[in-house]
Amino acid sequence: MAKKPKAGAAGAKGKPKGAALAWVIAPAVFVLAPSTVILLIIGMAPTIVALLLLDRHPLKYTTRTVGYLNFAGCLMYTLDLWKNSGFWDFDRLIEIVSDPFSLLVMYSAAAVGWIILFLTPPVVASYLTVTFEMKETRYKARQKELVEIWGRNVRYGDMGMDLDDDTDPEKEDDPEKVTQAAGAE
Amino acid sequence: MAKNPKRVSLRDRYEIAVDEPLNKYDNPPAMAFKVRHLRDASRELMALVCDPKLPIRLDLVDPLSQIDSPYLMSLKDWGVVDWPPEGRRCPVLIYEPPAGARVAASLEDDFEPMREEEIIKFFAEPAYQVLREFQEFDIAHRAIRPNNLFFGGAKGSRLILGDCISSPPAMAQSFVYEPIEACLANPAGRGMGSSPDDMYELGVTILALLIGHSPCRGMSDEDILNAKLSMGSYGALTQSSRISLTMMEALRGLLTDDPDERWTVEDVGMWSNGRRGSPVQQSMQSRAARSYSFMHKEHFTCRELAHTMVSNWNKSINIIRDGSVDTWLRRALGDDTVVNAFNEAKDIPEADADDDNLIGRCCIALDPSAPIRLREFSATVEGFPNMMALHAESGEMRNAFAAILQYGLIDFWEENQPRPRLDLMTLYRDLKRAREVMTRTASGEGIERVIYDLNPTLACQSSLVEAYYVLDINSILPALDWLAANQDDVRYLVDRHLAAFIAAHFSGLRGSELRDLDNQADPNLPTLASIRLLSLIQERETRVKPYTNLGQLAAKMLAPTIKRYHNRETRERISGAMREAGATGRLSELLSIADNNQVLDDDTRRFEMASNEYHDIARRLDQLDSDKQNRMSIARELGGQVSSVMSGVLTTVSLLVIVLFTFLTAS
Repeated sequence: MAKKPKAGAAGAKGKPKGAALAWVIAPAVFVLAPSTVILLIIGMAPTIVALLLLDRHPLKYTTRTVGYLNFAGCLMYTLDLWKNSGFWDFDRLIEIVSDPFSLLVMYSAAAVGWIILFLTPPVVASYLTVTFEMKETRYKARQKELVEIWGRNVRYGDMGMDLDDDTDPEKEDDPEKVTQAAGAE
Repeated sequence: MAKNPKRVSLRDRYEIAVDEPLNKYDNPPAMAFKVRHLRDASRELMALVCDPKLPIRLDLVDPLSQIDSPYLMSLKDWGVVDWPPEGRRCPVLIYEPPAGARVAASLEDDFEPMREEEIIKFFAEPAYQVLREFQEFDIAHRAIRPNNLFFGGAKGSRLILGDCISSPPAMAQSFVYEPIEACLANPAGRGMGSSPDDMYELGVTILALLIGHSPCRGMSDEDILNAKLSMGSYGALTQSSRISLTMMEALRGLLTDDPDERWTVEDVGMWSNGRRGSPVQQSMQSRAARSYSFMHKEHFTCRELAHTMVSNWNKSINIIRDGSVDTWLRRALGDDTVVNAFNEAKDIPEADADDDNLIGRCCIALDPSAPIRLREFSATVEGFPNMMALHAESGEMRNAFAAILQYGLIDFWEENQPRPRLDLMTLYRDLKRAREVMTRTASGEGIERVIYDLNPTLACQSSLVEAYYVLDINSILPALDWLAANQDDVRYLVDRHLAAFIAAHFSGLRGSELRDLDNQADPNLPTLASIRLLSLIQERETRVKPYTNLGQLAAKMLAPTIKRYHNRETRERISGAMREAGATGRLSELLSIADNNQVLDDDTRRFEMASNEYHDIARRLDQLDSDKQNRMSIARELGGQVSSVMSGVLTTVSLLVIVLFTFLTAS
């Protein structure tokens, strides 16, 4: 707990640093390869929309999921841009962005990300339900086993109290009496 | 114990015929029965079966067995037997019965008077010989009376003194046969007595033989005592009898009320041998010039007044506080010793100025030779042990005894004796120690301990073993074994009486055993402590004797201690082992299993671990429950992570494929 404010302080210090770095690097990249930057801005529009409008999570899972695949979709055309012309070749850029197929490829990749994003939680929920049930059964079985080996007093050992008759492992104790007894102890 | 057998064996040597009572030898409360000697059937023997509720005079057994006199009923043996008519164990005394009948069937009946010569020859001379031996052993008979005298020898040629052990000293003695001091005491508190007491009894018995009945017949005890107090014993007992000069000499000597002036055994010997002297003048207490009136009665002596004060205890405080007794003592009696003693009696600190204390002290000052009296309690100092043994259950007597010790009445009595009683020094010391012991409430202390300290030969009064008549430490385990075999509902093995008896008789105690008997914090500790105590007694012998019934009972009683163990397997294992150990009859083995701290600690440690695990699981289940409630939000969170990872993996694969494809097609 004591470390938390420290970590928070470090984070607070780190974020402006990264932002400042981004503000330095971004104009430089834009100056060095403007066509690539414009292609990525157009191709990764779904990611930008997700980042700026939809994703409220601090770890930005939506942006990441969409963004990774969206970037994969854009990469093919970025390489094409780099391979056939230079960093300043705006003709090829216009060809690519005016080609519906290339846009379809780039946005479809983003769509796959969205599909994954929508399908995963229900699957995870089902998985969790099954796991919870299994864990509960296992835990209860172990508790029953402990009561059978050590008697019902094993339930109240940390209260520093003993039931007079703890021979029947199946018997449920009156919680009120147990609380009273624990209080009396 | 066999059910109603006709013969009871004592030490495989004697066989007592339960169905052959010899009523003519009864010495109430002891009952006589015929006895057959198993190795010598020709021997005539009888058994006196004593009242187990009364302490018998076991300290006299040894000296009496050394006295070989034809004039004393011969004690051959003694022991404790299972007595079917009572359904319990009783002490029995084996005697050689006298040849003839009793001199007097009872003290109320007339009997043939004896001539003076016969009395001297057949009674006084034999009694002198017997009582001289008693004096040598420093013991007293305290049961000399016509109905305890038997004709013996050929044709009843001599008189034989009967039993004197079967009941506490002088307890069964009629009022008239006892000196004034003993009459003033409770029958249980008359004390062991000494030779002068026997001399007094001898004198009354001689008088009875002479006149053919008990003196003062038809008078109540109170009347007899009042007559003795006002006229002196000789005057009171010989009121209407014609006594010859020869007999008068002996009777005056024997019946004088001052024990210091009373005839001794030697005087009786000389008299019976024909030596005559002048009769002893009867010593009377100083008589006052005028009487003191109290409770409609005129008193001329301090002793009379003290007796009336004791009889009217609550009213006597008034005459002490109003100073009338002081005035009477100074002006009418003129005895400085009594005046000073009375002043000293009243001079007590404010804190101790209790009415009872004041009356008790004043009575001692008025009559120093009388017993110590406090309300209903009245006993000579030497009678205190017996008094407490017999009246231990009476709260009134216990309180009075405690008060006497607390007020220091014994010290005051001792200070007022005309001569120091060196014979009572040990008893003084024991009684002073009793004052401390009485204040302790722990098991093995208190009034019960005092009783056993003061009465070393008293049978244990514990309700657990009372029926077994336990006289020493060796009999405790057999008694408890017998109890275990005969009683189903035994809840404890050592009660306060038994603890006190053990503490008084057993020197091998460490102390903790008795302390733990009172432990209220852990209900198992008293049971464990009692069995540990009994185990110590069992193990002290070189050849340890097993007591299987007791062992099984102890195992049963220790069964609840199994709950100290939590582990079910351990419980079952120890429970089985305890049953097996109990069946062996060795309590130490049982304890080593039931009270094994190593196993107990190990079990406790493992139980704590199990309990922690249980609670850890309980916490996890709570967490699980909470997770179930938030399942969808967890699924979303986790789904976000999973989808971003999946996306990342897919992207990485795609990137590799695209880069490879691009480079391959370019080349």
